[in-house]
Order: sequence, then structure tokens, then C-alpha cells
Amino acid sequence: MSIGEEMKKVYDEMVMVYTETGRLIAVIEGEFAKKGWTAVGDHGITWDTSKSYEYPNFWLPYFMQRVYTKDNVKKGVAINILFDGLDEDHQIAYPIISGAVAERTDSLSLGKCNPITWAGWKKDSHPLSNDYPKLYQTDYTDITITNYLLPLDKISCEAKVRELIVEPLIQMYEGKFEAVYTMLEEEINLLDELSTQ
Amino acid sequence: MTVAELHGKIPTLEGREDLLTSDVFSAFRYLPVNLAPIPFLRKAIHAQTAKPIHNLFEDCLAVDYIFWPKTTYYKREPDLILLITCKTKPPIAIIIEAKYYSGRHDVNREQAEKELQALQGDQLAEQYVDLMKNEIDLNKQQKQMLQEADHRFLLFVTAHDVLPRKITDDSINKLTKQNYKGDHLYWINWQAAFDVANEALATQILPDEQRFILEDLRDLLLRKGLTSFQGFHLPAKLLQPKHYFWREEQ
Repeated sequence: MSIGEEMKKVYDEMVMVYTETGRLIAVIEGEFAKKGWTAVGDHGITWDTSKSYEYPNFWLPYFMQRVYTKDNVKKGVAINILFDGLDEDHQIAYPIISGAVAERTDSLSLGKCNPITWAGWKKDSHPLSNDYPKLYQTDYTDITITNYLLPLDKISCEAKVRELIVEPLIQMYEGKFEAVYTMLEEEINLLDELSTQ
Repeated sequence: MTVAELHGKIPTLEGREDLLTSDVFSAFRYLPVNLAPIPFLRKAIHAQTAKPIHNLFEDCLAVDYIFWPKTTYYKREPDLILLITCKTKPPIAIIIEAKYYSGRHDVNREQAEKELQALQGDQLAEQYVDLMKNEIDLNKQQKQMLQEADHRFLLFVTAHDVLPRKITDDSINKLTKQNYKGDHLYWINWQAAFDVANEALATQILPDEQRFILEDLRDLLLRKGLTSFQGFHLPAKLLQPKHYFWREEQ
């Protein structure tokens, strides 16, 4: 294969990865909708990209986020898929999906936001408790987030979407952390395990 | 479904909604009712609540497929009507309106008689009302079934990965203004037909003639990119050179 053919292949593979990610998000969307949850905001899933020739390393979307609420506009569940590190100090060895429960502590409604992308990665992020070392809590001034980090390739079919994302997030929303941990402990990672730093 | 399409021999027709409708529902027509068509219908979700269709299809015996019938009040041409015969319950009547990603095919009724303007030319809403009022051109036996049907709904089939709410909500709003609840509107995507074929092939030992139809249906939908989430594929092995084409050091 020539270098040119190789480049085309790389591009096609990337499109395929995004296409499959889109299908995964569609399944998540459908599962939450069936249970009465509504997606917050429009169909947009990413930001922090560049169209400028000066920043080619920001041409590709590196994360995708969706937030869902049910009966409380301040509190909801979220997923954030991460294909790349957040900055030089926060790199990942493989793509991950973060499942989060977020609650605003100010007067605003919950929406898509950077704190969800960064949940678990902040300097002050800490394990929820000694019993749940792989669940992280991050307290911002205006939003509190509890989340877990799952290698994206563990989501191998629609059943896994329900088993590893939808059901645990709903349980976590209801504060049933023991049940969540039982469901996920073998599948989710400590930050140190997925970070290359 | 034609083998020519499966092998890419009719590229100019491949994007046609009518061909896709024919591909999927003619395949269903040749298969036992509980092997493909009913499992497909069970995957439909309500356009307002997104809940799966309720347990309607318990004792279905047969499905009549009427392709491209005409409605008699709004003069519409839905893609299909399914008339389902049940063992113990009255028949079920379903109008199917099929698309890829396009919206409704609405018509301008501004010059039409006042009575025809009520639903503002909305394709889904007009077909919905014609179904509810038995306004469909059918033969005598089919007409009888339609009149006896106490469960009837419009099924909007598209290629969207999720319920296209902007389209369905708009139709429901128009129906509501005319005192129809709009709660007989359901949605499903073509990807569900892929899942039905896949699941049947994976879980059942089938006679050759059924297996071939399901395999062709699965392969055709795969070819058209109408598949659901199947996990992530293993990327191709790449050379991963130090540089791709720009070799000058910075």
C-alpha cells in the first residue's frame, strides 16, 4: 500500500470510529428516552475544535457529550466519550466513556459543560469513598459530579449499553452506589490505569 | 429484493425509498409472520413517549401487505398498509410511511377546498386521519378487515438513529389542533430490520429458503449502512510511519 493509500485508509478508519460512536450515542439516547429522560440542549455533542489552519491538532473532535434530565432541571446523568487526553498532563492510553451524575448547586439548569468532560480528572477529584475507589467525585463551585470511567471498547453491543451505562447511571442518580459498584467494579478503571501520565 | 442490488448493479436506483420499502417488506412477506414482520413491529416506539409498542401482537396469524394503496379523502399514497389477522382479537391495521432521512412529503393545500386545509397538507397527519376514518381504497375483503380493526396506527419508518421528533411532533401538533390525539403514531428505523434478520439468523435453525431471504436482507441493509450499533470494529493494521507525506523536520 502506498503512503497515499495508507492516509486514505487512516481517514476512512477514523470516519468509521465516529460512525460507530454515533450509533452508540443513538442507542444511549433511545434507552434514556424510553425511560422518560430528555436530552438537554440541541443535537450538538462536541466543542473545543478549530477550523483554523493554525491548529490542525484541534480539527478532530476529541470528545462527545450528552446530558439527560428527567424530573429535575438541576440534576441529571451524562456521558462523555473521550478519544484523546484533555491536555498535556492528562493523557489516555485508549478511548474511554465517562458515566456521570451531575447536579448544579447554583441557580442554573444543568447543561452540557466542560466540568462534565473533566470529571474525575481534576486535581481535587477524589474517590467517592473507600468502599467505591473507582467512583470519582468532583466538586466545582457550581456543580457536583460523580462519575466512573469505562474503556470504550467494553461497550460491544446494545446489551452492554444497558448493562454498563444506562442502568448504572439511573441507579447512581438515585444514590444507590452499592448497586452501581456491584454492576461495574470489574469493568471500570482507576484513573491511574487508563492514564499514560 | 434483487440480487443485482446486492451486488451493486443498479446504483442509480439504490437510494430510492420505494426500492428500500420493497426490499424490506417483500422479504417480510415471504417469511413466516412471527419470524420477521412481527418481531420488526415489536421494535417500534411511540412517537410521543418513546415507549415500545404495547403488547398487541400476541396471537397474529397472517399479514396482508398492500403496497402503495391510495387514500380516498386526502388522496394520499402511503407506502404500505399491513392488515394483520389475529387468532382471538380483531384485526390490526397499520399504515407505513417510509423514508430515508427526508422529512414528510407535505403538499400545499392553500388552493384546495377548505375542508382539505385542516391538516395543512401534512403527509403523516393526513394519512393518519384517512386511516382512522377508513378512507382507503381497498378491495372488499380488505375493507372489511380495516373496518373491524380496533387497533390501528401509523408507523413512520426512517433511517434516523433516533426518533426524529421535530417531524413527528409537528404532525402530532396539527392532529391535536383537529381534535385527534395523535397517540397512534409510532416510529421505527430500518436498522431494526437488520437486527431482526441478525437475531433470527443467530438464534434459530431455519430452512434454507428462509435463511437465504434473511441473509440477503441483512447483507443488503449492511451494504446500505442501515445497521444498528454492533460494538466497535478492529481498525485495520496500519504502517504508522513517522511521517505520512511531509518529511521536512520542523
